[in-house]
Amino acid sequence: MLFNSIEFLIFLPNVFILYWFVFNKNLRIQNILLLIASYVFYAFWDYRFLFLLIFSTFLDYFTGIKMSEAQRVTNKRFWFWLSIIVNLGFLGIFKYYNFFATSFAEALAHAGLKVDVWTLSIILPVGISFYTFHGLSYVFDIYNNKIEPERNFVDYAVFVSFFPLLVAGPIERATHLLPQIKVKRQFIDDEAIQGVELILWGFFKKVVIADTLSGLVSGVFTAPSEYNSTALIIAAIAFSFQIYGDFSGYSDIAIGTAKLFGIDLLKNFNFPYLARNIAEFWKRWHISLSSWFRDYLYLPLGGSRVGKILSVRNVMLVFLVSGIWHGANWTFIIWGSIHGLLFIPSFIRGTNKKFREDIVSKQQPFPTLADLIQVAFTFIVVTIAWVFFRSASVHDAVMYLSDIINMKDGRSLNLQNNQLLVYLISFIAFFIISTLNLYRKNNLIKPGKIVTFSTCLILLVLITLFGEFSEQSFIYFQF
Amino acid sequence: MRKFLLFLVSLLVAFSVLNVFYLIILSKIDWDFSKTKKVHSFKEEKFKVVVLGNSTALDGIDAELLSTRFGATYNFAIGGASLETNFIQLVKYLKCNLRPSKVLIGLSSCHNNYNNIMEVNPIVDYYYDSLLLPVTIKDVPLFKFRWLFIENIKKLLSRDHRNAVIVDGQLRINKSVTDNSSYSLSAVQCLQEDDYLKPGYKYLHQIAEVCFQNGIQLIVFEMPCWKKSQNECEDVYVSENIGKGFKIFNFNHKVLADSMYEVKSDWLSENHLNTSGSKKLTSLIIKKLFADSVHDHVKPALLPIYESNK
Repeated sequence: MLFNSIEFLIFLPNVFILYWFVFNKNLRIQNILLLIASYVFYAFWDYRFLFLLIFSTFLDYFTGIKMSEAQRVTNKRFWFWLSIIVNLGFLGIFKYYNFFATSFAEALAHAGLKVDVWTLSIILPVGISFYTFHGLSYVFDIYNNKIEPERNFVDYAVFVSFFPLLVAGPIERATHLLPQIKVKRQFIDDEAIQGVELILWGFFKKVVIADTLSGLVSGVFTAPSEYNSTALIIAAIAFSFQIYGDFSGYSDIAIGTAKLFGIDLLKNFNFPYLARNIAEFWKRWHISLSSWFRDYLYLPLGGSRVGKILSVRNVMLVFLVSGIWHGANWTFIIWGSIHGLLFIPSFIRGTNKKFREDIVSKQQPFPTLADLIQVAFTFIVVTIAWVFFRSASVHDAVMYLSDIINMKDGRSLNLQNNQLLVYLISFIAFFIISTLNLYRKNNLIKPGKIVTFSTCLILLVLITLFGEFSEQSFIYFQF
Repeated sequence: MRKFLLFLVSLLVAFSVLNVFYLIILSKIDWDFSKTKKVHSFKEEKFKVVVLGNSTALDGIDAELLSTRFGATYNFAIGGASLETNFIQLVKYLKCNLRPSKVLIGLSSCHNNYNNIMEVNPIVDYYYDSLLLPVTIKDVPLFKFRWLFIENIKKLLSRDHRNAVIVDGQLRINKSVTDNSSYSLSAVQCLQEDDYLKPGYKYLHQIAEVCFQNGIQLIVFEMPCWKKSQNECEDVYVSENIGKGFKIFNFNHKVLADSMYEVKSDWLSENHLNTSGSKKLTSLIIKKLFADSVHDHVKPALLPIYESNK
C-alpha cells in the first residue's frame, strides 16, 4: 500500500480508531492490531512476499533466543551465522544474483571466455533491504550482548514490520523501538498534532515537489543525449530535489504516522542540502542507514582505531557497501565510491566532524557567506554524484556530465508557463516552510498554535492544488 | 485526545471554508466559470450559430465576426472541454432555447489525442449536474478546479491576461507568441475516416445525430497549430450512417495556414490563435464554408442518398 493512495487514506483512520478507541485498554491486543495492520499494509503490494517477511521475522526471533540460550560460544556463533547467511542469502538472491552473474559473465567475456549464465526472472520484494537490516541489527546486538532477545513473537514482529517504516525505513534499532512496543503507549495531543504536521509536510514533499519534478527528470534522463547542457543541468538539480522530496517525504510520513500511535521513530533527514561538506552531508542524509553502517560495519572492522590506511579502507568499504545496498547496478557502486573519495580527504585531515551544528543557531541566526559558499559547493558535488545514481548506466552518466562540460547543443526543456508557475509557487512554499522548520529546530522561533495550524492548512491547500495523484511509487521502494 | 480531535475538526472546517471561498472567487473572476454560468442560464435565446470546442475554439473563433454574416452567434467553447462536454452543452442549450441553424465544432487533433480518457469539463460538470455538494474527494473545489488557480494567478502576473475580455463567448487575449517551429511533415500522421470512428470521437457522432434530428447544419473542422504540427492532409468525410455523414475540414493544412497566418503576430501559443489569428480563421470559415453549397459537406458519392433522405 502506498502512503499516497486512497487505500491508505481509508486504512490509517480505521487503524487509528481501533487502536485508540477499541483496543486502548489492552497492550497485547494493540500490538496484535499493529501487526495485522502491518501485514495488510504489506500484502496490498504483493501478498506472496508476506511469507518471506514472516519467515525472516521468525528466523531472527528464533536465532535470537537460541543465541542467548547457547552455553558454548561455538553454538552462539552457529545461530548468529545462520541468521546472517540466510538473511543476506535472501537479499543476495532477490537483489544481487542477476547483477553478479551477468557481471561475472561480462568479465569472462573480456578475458575471451564466453559463458552463458543462468539468470533469475524475479521481482524484488519491496522493502527487503529495510526489514532485513532491522533483523540484522537485532541479531548483531544480541550477539554482542547489547540486548536480551525478545521472547514475545508479536512484539518482535511489530518491531520488524511496523507498517510506517516497513518498506522504506527509517531503519530502526531494537534498542530504540522494541522498548516502546513493550510498554503501554500514551496518547499525547501535541505529539499527535506534530505527527499530522509531519504527515502533511511529507505528503507535500512527495506529491508536490518530487512527483511534479519526476516527469521533467525522467524525460531528460531517458534520453540525455537529445538535450542541451542547460536542460541537463536543470534536470540534475531537479533530481536532487526529487529524490530528497521523495525519500525524506516518505520518512516524514512514516515518523508522523508512528507519532499518531504514540511511537517515536529515528530521525532520517536533517536538512541534508545545508551540509557544508560531504562528511556533514552523511550526518544529515538517510541518517538511519549511515549510522547502521557505522555501528555494524565500520566499527566492527576497527573503525578509526586501526591506523590510517586501514581506517581509510574501512571508510571506503562502508561507502561501497552503501552504494550497493541501493541496488544491483554499477551506477550505485560508482555513486558510493564518489562519496567515499570525497569523504576521505576530510577524514584524513580530521575535519569530518568539524560541522556539528546547523548553519543557523542562537548565536548566529543567519548563515555566514562562507557557510553559504560551502553549502552551494557541497550541493553541486552531491548533485554530480546523483547523476550516476539516476542514470541507466555508468556510460550514460559519464556522457551526461561530459555533455554539460562541453556545453552541448540540443533540445531545450520547453516548459509550459503553467508548469513553471507550479514549480515557482511550490518551491517558494518549500523554502519558507523548510526555513521555518530550521529556525524552529534551533529554537530561534517558537511557533504557536496558530502558526502550526496555518502551516498545516497551507500544506493541505498546496497538496490539493498542486499534488500529483497518479500514485507514483516512492523511489526508495526499489531498494 | 480532545485537543487533537479539536485540531483535526478545526483543520477540516477551515479547509472547507477555503473551498467555499475559492468557489466564490472563481465564479467572480474566472472566464470559463462566469461564461459557463451564463451559458447554463440561457433561456429562449435565438442564436443562429453555436460554436463548440475546447480552448483552441474559445480563443480562435470570432463569434462577433460570424454574427455580422449569419446572425446572432455565441462561442460556447471552454478550456479543456471534451467532446462529451460539448455534447452536454448542446443538449442543454437545445432543451431551453430555440434551435440554431448551424453548429460549428473546432477539433484540435493536432495537439489533443481524443482517444485518451477525457472527462466532462469540471466546470460544466459543476453547473450542469444537479448535485452541487462534493460527493467524492475529487469533487472538493480546490481539487476539482485546481488548474484554474494557476490560470487566474496569470492574471496577476500578466497584463495581457488581465486585459483579456470575453466577446460573444470568444476569449480575446492580445498577446503574441512567435511560431519559431519548422515543418515536420514526415512525423505528422493524417487522420482518416476510421480514426474519426474510434471511441474517442464517440460524442462527435452523438452531436452529429442531435444536429441531424433537429435539422441543424453541422460544420466540423480541425483547428490550426504551429508549423511543427501542421500537415498536408485532405479533408475527411465521415459517413457512419448513410445520409447523416459530415465532412471534417482540415484548417491545419500547411498550405492554407502558411498563406494565412503571420508567424509573429497571430499565435497565442503553439496550438492557440490570438485575436488577430482568430479573425483570419473566422473569415476563412465564412468564406470557405458558408459561401459553398451544403453539398460540399457530403461525400460526392453519397449525394443521391443524401438528397433522398432529405
